[in-house]
Amino acid sequence: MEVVAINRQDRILKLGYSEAVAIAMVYIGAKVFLGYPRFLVEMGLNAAWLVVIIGAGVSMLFWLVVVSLLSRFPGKSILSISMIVLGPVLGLIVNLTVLFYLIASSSNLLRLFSDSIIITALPEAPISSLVLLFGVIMLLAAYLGLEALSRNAYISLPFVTAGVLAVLFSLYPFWETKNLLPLLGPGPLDVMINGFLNCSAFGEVMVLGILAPYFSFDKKMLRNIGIFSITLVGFGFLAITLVYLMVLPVPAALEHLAPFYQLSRSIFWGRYYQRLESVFILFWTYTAFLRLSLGLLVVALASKDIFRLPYYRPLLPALIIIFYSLALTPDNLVTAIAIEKDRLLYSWVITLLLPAVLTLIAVLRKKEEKGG
Amino acid sequence: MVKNLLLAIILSFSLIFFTGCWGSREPDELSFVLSMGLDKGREGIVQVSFQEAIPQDLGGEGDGEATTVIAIESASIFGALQLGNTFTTRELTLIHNRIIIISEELAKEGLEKYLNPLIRSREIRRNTFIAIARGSAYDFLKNNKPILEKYVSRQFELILKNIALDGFSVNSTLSEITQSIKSPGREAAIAILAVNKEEKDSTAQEERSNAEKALYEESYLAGEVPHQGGNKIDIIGLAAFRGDKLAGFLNGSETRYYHMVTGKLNSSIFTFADPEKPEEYMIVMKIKKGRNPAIKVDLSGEKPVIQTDLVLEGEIMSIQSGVNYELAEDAAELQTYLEETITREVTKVLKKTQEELQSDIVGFGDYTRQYFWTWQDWVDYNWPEKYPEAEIQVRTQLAVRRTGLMTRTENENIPGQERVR
Repeated sequence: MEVVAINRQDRILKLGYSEAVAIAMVYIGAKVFLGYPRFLVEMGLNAAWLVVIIGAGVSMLFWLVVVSLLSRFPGKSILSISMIVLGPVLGLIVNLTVLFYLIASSSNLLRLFSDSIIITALPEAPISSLVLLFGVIMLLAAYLGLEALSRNAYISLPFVTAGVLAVLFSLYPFWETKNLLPLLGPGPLDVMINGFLNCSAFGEVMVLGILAPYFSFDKKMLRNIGIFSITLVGFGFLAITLVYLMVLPVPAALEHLAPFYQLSRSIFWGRYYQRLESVFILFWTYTAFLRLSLGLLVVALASKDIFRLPYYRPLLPALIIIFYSLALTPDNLVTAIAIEKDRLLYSWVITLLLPAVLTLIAVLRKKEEKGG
Repeated sequence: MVKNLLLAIILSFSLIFFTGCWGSREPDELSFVLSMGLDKGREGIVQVSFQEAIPQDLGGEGDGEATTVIAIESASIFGALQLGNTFTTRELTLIHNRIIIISEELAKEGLEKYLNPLIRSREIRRNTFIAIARGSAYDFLKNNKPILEKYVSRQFELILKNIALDGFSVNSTLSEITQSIKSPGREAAIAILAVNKEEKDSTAQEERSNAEKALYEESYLAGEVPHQGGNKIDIIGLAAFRGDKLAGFLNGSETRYYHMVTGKLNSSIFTFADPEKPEEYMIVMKIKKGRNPAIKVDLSGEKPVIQTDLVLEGEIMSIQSGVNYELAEDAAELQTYLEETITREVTKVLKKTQEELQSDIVGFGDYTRQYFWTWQDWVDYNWPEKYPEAEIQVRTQLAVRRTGLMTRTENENIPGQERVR
């Protein structure tokens, strides 16, 4: 790990590729513990797994375009590139839109994770207490910085993966492959359209573009890391969706609030080993802490970038208050779920299409920077 | 250093304040419901029975009753649970509830409105057993006195598991049942139980020939099993549903043949009339699954054709006649006879599900999924309407693998039977 920028407040190290992959995987993958598998089933019924594959493929294509843009401006984040390509006014407008999206999406995830904990483990706790609990930890983790968070993600990822695999394989006796038929679910056209829209689920790979200045590797490696992260998370989504469909088939699969939790509740290893979901709650709660902390940190770093501030840490208390307020804005859980659903359908416009348009403009206007 | 010390002190103090949460409940303030019953109450009202565990003395094994049953009339299950707290010192909780028994009367009206709230509940688990009571669920809970087990939760866990393995009933859980009710490709099959009548109505059995008596020795529904002593309850047979409404029953004998087709028959003891002397002697065989049944549903013709290939293995447990069916030609004769008998009985059960019950409890409809590209096409095909018209073809392959601890019977007194040396 190479030191690139040291100052008293923001001591940031260049991150290696393992940490970058861990960040991308946690950032993209954490939603699988919420209602994402149910959302996939809503889009593709028993062909939800096809929706995952198509979404991953489309997002990879977009990512290749985005990397080509990043390669034209070595050492610059996608937000800085936007200012260069679009000019200071239009660039700022676009960047503020991206910043608003980052704040809104992570705030809503904060609400969803808090509500999920209420539903699964702490039914009597008020929502504000859980949002506050998450908020304090997010603040602390973001204060410790990207290095601490990325290493934490890197170290915890094998444990979380093991936890997910343990749930999926424990349900092996309930796997029923017939439930995956008819093969095309709602029909080929719907699968294709919804599969395309599902690239939004992987659009969060864009976080690598925002954090680009903090990576120690070149753009070719960044391209591979993006592809590798999408592939790994895609496999995770695919495995969870397949098992979900085989164990709790359509139409019952459309009903569950937190499909992964429902799967872990279905585990039965015999009379002495049941009710194991309490163990697995720890895995996904930890992932939620990581994802939300990364969300706050990315917003702070993006703000620093957009407003050309020397430090990001002084922004954290203000940002966490915004997160807290926005998280508690939806009237109820159903509204928060509806917001998340809209995000999963349309966020590709901001996370993938916008950078692709930037690339096009950069090419047309022949904007490029050499060196780094 | 001072910073770390301060942090350690804050963290240590936080241990005092983070010992509980809003949702904490002390175990000694809770009353654990072990089983629940649902009966029809007055108009629009349901009678909910709760079998609660009675906490034992500190000494451990108490001599008194381990459980008590209360029944409450209310508009909903959770309303009844709350009403129960008005006369129970401890808060009733369903977190350890293991079985929900629904009366036949309610089952005929439809289960969905009772099952949906259970699926939504945090306290009820998806692997909770569901059973249909012939008669009143409350009466069953009152009369159920497990003898070998102290608590009914353990009793049901053991008995339903064993019965399902023997093929006499089904291990029906909340998860499986709700999925079957909602699926266009299968119907629900639920275990039935009842208080034993004790008055033996054996007319039907007496009218049968000896050969039929052997073949149908387990053809009882819950409540009719002729037994004396022990717990005065029976769990045998299954309730078949059409949608969420009770369509009819399969008795113990039929349920075992049904399980041969579902592939869930682990091993069970069957009695057949001796092929050579059917009115005098019987053959007892332990039959188990050799391979999962191969099921194919062909939709190419005018009517769907369901082809079921059963692969079974047998072990001879008793040959009363002393005929040496273990050996060569006689073995082949026995094998053919058993295969034909099983094929006939399985076909009969499947016909019953088609004609009388009109309920695809095997789930043949799920095998038709492969013929359709989209979900809507499959739903539009409307399998539940097609199933009663389908042609059923059953083929059985039975291999007698073992003969117990004997290889043959030495008996010179059997006329016409050559002694084998």
